This record gives sequence, C-alpha cells and structure tokens, in this order.
Amino acid sequence: MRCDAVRQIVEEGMARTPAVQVHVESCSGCKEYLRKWEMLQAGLVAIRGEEPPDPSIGFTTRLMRRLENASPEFQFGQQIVDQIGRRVVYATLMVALMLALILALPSSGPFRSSGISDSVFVQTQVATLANEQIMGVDGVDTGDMQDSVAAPAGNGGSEARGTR
Amino acid sequence: MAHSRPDPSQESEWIRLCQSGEKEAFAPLVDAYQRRVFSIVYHLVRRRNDVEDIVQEIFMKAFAAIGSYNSQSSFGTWLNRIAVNHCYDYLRRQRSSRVTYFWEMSEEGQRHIESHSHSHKEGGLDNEEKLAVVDLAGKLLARAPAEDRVILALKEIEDRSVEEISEILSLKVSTVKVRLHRARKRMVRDFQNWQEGR
Repeated sequence: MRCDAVRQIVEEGMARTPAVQVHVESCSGCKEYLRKWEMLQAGLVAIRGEEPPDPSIGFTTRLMRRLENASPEFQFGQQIVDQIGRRVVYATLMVALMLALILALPSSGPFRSSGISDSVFVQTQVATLANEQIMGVDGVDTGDMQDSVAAPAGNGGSEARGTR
Repeated sequence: MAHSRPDPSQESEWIRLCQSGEKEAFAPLVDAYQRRVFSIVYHLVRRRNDVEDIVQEIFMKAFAAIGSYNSQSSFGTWLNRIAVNHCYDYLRRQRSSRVTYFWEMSEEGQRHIESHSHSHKEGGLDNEEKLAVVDLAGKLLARAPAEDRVILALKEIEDRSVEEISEILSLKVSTVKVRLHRARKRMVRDFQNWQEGR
C-alpha cells in the first residue's frame, strides 16, 4: 500500500485493515507522521473545549439599529450585487471573449471578410492591373513609355555596334 | 455541538417577512442563531476581541442577501456558509498582514512538545503537555493558509462531518476529503520544519 493512502485512512479514523496495520508498523515514515498528526489532533480537539465569547448585552438591538441606519443606497447596492452582479460579470466576460476572438482572427481568409480587408484587396487588385497595363503580364515592356525610356539605350547599343 | 433550533414554520415565516422587507423580523433570527455563529467564528478566527464585530458583519451580509435564500438548504447551513466565507476572507486579509513566529512559544512548552513527540506515551497527555500541545496546534493553525485553516477548524474543532463541511463549502465530499488530507499533511510538515529548524 502507498504511504499516502495509509495515512489518509488512519487520519480519517477509518477501521484499520490488517494491510494498513502491517504497513503502519513496518514503515517508519508513516509511524512518525501519524504520531505527529495524532499529537496535533489532540491539540485541535482540546481547542474545541475553549468556550467562544458570549454576545455582549444588547447585541441584537445594536445590530438592528445598524441595519436601520444602513443607507438605502447601501442596501440597494448589496441587492444589485447579489442579484445582477454575477450576470454583469458574465456578460462582460462574454464581450471580452468575443473581442479577443475578433482580434485573434487572421485579417484575411475564410473566417474574415470585413469591409476593410475587402477594400485593401480591391486596392491591391487595381494596383496589379495598372502594373500589368504598364509592364505587360509577364513584366516585359510593351508600352510607349517603355519605348521612350528604352530608346536611347537601344540606339546607343546599335551606334556602338555600328561604330565597331 | 448542540444548538437549539427555532420552530421551522415560525422560522420560515420570519424569513418570508424579511424577504418582503420587514427588518424587525430579522431580530428573532439573530437571537436564534447568534450563539451558533459566535461559535463558528471563534473557532475559525480564534481572536476573541474581533469575534463580535465579525458576527455583526455576517448578519448584515445575511440580511442583505436574504432575498436570495431559497430554502434549498436549511437557514442554519445557509447562514454558516456566509459565516465561513466571511471568515475565510478575514483570514486571508489577516494572514497577508500578520505573521506568527514559532519562537513565540515558551521554552517549557517547547520542551514538553519535544519530549512528547519523541516518546509517544500511552494514556494521553498530562496537563502541562496538553497546554503545550494546544498552544502548538493553535500556532500552527494560525500560520496555515486560510483554506487549510477553515477546513481543519470545521473538522477538528467544530467537529463537523465531512458531509456537513461539503454542504457548507459547496464542495463534493471527495474534494473535502482531499483538501483535509492536504491540510493535515501541510500542518505536520510545518511542525517538522519547526522541530528541525528551531
């Protein structure tokens, strides 16, 4: 048997089976533990005998006066706390959880299609289309602008070839 | 521990009146239960001078919450639950602001503890040993975490059954047993530390 199980059985005052008894007698750790616990328990049981103080004379009267003087706001506040306080706490937790979920979701993807991400996506597409018009689909120069920029280099090249 | 209980039908009537706002109906409930609450608070807190103030606060809380009492448990158990929770909060506050040192124990007390813990005599404790053991148990209890202190006081000092404790603390019986064992183990370890480190 495990020491912990044996100790719990003895502490709770349950009937000691032969196996428990054998363990207690052969295990010095359990023997020591139980001796100490029994001593402390004797002390705690002795505390039971200490008489609690009596309520002083007029205890109930003073308490009732205190209740009478307790402001209605205090009592109302207590009622609010008791009756709806818990619900407010749960509702706040729910809102916080939902906010956390919203923030934790990725900015795009199947779970997200907010107006902001849509507009960003549209802007990106417009920019891509504009680039394609200017640069061509595979990035090769097809427009006039490319010609005007590329012409001096091309001419220079042919001139260079021509001179050679 | 014997406590006189008021007539159940009369008690229900007082509770109903309190729930409908009749403050005066709370006075007989206070009269009927004050000794029981004094006892539980004293055994949990063990500070004679503070008991009455704590009990007043418990009854104030009970009156403020009486609207939520729904007769699922007895009024006494419901009141005990408020008392124990209040004491638990009090002990947690106290523990963070106050430390009990081992060396507050007298030399003679220490000698009695030492001799008794090393030679387990048959036939119980003599008077001086008993005083020393009570002193030691009280000090170890005062040093214990609030959770251990409450559950040990309910079981060993208030002499409540595990079932009663589970009802008061709104815990399963098995949880109460586990917590009790853990609290006892910690107390014995604290005792051992004192013996080794003194």
